[in-house]
Amino acid sequence: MFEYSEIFDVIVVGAGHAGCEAALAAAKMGAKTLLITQNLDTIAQMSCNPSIGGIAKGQIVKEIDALGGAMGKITDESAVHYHMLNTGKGEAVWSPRAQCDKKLYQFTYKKYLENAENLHIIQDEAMRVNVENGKICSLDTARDTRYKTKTLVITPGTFMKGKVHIGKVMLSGGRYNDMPSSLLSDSLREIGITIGRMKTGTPMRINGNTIDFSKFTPQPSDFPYTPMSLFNKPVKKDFLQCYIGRTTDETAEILQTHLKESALYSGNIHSIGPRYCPSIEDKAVKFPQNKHHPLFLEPEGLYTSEYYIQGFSTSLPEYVQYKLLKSVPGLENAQIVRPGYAIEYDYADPTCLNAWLEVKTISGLFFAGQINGTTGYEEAGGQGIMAGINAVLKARGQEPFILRRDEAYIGVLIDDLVTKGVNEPYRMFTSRAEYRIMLRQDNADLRLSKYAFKYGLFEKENEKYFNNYQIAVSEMAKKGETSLTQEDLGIWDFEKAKISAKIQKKYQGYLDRNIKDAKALADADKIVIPAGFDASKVKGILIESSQKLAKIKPATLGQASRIPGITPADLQLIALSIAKYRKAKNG
Amino acid sequence: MILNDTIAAFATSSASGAVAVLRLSGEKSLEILQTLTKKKDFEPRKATLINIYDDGTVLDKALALYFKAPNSYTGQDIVEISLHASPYIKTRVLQNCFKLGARQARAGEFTMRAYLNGKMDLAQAQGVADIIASKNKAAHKAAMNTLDGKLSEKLQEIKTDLMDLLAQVEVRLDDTDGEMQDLPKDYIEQILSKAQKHITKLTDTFSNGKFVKEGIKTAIIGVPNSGKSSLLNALLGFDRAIVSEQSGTTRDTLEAEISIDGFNLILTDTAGIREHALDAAEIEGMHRSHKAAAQADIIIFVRALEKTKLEEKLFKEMQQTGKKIIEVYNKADLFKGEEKKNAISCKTGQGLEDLKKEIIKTIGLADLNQDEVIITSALHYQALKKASEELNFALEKSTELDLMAAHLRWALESLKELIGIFTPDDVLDIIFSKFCVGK
Repeated sequence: MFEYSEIFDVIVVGAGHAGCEAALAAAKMGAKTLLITQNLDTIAQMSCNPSIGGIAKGQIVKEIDALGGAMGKITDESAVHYHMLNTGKGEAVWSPRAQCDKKLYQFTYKKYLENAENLHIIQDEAMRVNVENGKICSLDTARDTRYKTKTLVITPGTFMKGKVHIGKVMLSGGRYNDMPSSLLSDSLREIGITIGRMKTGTPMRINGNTIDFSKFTPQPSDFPYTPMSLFNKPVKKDFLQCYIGRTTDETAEILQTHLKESALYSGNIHSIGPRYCPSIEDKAVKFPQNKHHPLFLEPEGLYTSEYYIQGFSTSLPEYVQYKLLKSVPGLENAQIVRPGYAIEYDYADPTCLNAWLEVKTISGLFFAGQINGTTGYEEAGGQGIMAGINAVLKARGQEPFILRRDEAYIGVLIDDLVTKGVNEPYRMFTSRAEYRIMLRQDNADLRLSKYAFKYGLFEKENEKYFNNYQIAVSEMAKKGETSLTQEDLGIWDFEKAKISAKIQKKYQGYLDRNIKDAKALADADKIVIPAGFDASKVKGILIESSQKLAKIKPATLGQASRIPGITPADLQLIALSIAKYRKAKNG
Repeated sequence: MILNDTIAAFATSSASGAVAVLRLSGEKSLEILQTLTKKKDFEPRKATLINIYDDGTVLDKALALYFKAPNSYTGQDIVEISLHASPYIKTRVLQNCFKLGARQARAGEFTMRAYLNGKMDLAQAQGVADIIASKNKAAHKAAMNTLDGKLSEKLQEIKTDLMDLLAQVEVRLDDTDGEMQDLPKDYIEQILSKAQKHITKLTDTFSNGKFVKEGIKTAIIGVPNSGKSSLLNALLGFDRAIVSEQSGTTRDTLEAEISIDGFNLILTDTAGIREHALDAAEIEGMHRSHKAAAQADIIIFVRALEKTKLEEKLFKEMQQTGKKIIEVYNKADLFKGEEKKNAISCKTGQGLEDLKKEIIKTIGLADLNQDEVIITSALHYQALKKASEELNFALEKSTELDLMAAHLRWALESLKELIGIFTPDDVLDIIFSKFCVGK
């Protein structure tokens, strides 16, 4: 065995959307970081849509950006189409989305990683996690190399024991034609992690030259558009169009006829799929009355004719996929270049995690992304940056960084994962957020950039501009004007301040109420349940509550209050017992 | 749970039935006192004679005491108001406190705060923990059965309608594909006005019911030695609520007040007649029974072990009053074999809880139309009022879905004591089952 000489502060396993954010954040904070990926050529690959953002997801991208992450910037550098969704509704739910050139996205991200100081990238496969005295100590790889580390962030996406299904065809793979990671989840199981199976899927890609676009409604890019990253301005560039079409009665018939051949319904897939409908056969089964489902043709890039057909995700056999295409006006002669498929993979029950994504029972071990049962690049990226920051804080012996539910969708996401666990691939919806009106795409910086400065992810010298920006927004929201000018705001945009102020003013009454409610929640989150204290053993709490508390092991009274079924009286008893416990300890 | 919001409840230790002490603890205590009394200055630890206002007019002359944090029982700002113990005054003042931002204190909550703020020792705290634990089980059981039959049905209907509407709104806010049609205005109006109608009907039974204002006069009637007094004592002894005993209008009538589920029962027992076991006294006893029955809203007729002509005669006369009668068989522990409805034993406590429920049920049927559901708890009344307010706002904002959703969520949130805690997952469940939400 080759033992690498250096001891890393942070090792990140996997270079997908979670891993890249984690590694970049850690390196930017000055931690000695190693990023391990099976394949350097698939860094930050978009395994599914060539698109970043969307409803609730666009808000997460803005949050990652406001925290000093890379997803927004890289999206802007590789975008070929922008669209602000939900503009017919209140600004609280406006959600930016961008189509990207997939390859450009990957190359740009790779360049960012290569240029980052303190970051070592290595192509290898993680196989075994080594723990000593409850602490992470090193990682062994497929080439029998041992890397010693203070902390480890695992972000394997769909790769752990990944299995691809196309009809009856079953292939091993973390993605179609990519090697799975076959031993890592066994190693995690050995150290006490509960491993389960999930499934997701992707539609077929077709050759654009075989599409009759005249049968579709074109959807051009917005211009001017709202960039994904804070400091970018809209620029004229090579935009590509998206197209909207619909399935037909014939599509519905084909689906009914061939349903049993789908891997989903043939019994080949046993894992949990989502209750929402990512696959077209799901739609046919669950909503037979809706016959005409929308389809979106999304270009995969500037230098390819490949198109992604959003809405046609499927695990039906390849020959049925051809039939399905034929049933759609404009796709009669479409050529499949990659078939759609479903994929099963191992995930880890996220209730094993603390609110800062560290495994409760193993000091220094962090999970982020699909391993935690989520789906989506944005959900992965949001967890990635949080895991990266927290791994560094852990390595330095500093207090963890937690985002509350009233601060960010990322806070909602992580709190949901660690408090309630998952019973289907978790994707974000705005309706998951109690404080939706506070969590807007226009104010991600106002909510979160203070942390980017605190943790060194934004340049200190820009903090004065940020402070002025906050003042400008607040003054304009209250009085309609400010004495501050663009010069005082530096890299922050005065026009953006005006927009944010206007939106804030519109929602003021609602925001005030939300802030009040959120404060109560934050107060309950300040009551920490001490490490040696077992809330499930408190006398007088309900038996059902006791079982839930034993599983989740909440870190604070606030977290306990968010476990479904815990009663106010349970909380009172726990609060009392904590006080008693503290008194007894302090003599 | 929040530990520094403002809680309110009547202290259970008021010495005399003439005075009721309302206690507030938390940040807003002083502010609420100031608003209720239209008076600014209160010196800590000094009793002040005050006017309590209600809708601009003086409701009561009372005594107020203010304790400034941390020098108080709970360690927080505390206000104690000694009111005249009329059920109407008590209800109005408590409702006004709720309106001004206080909430009903849970069992043991004052003492819990005292302990958490270091004002109390461990033994005392254990006592409180026991109270909370026993309440926890009872409340949970109640929530599981979701209150009683018809009320539960009504509330479930309201909940289902509001959740469905919220799901319709939320699915549009999360509609990536832009597939959803606009929500028709008349659909929104229909759901909201239906819910409002249900809620108003329920709140009316509480705030307008004469029983809430005046208490329910309950006469305990029976032949001598049937066990009227022991029933009265058992009812009093089994209830933790404020008990006041005072001489009635005649020397031999005993009046006592108890609270069952937020209702005040003024029990009249023709006690004492047993002591003069003479025919003349019996006649006098009958006379008093008649008088009490005439003034009562409801009659509890206590059956003796053996049927007698006297009892039958008395019962018939009671029936002639046209009042609702609950027949009770006392001394169930002495009965053998025979199954009786409303068989109770004051000795063992058997059947007493059922009797209380029967009383409330009978009252509901007595004052209101048959089959009508009534609200009997101030906590529930407050929750429904709040929900109704939010639904008004929801209607006002029906073209702005994000705002309407906020009000619908707040409405459901305020009903949590009645219909259980609402979470975003509940709405997602509906969305996923009803709508084809794609990627």
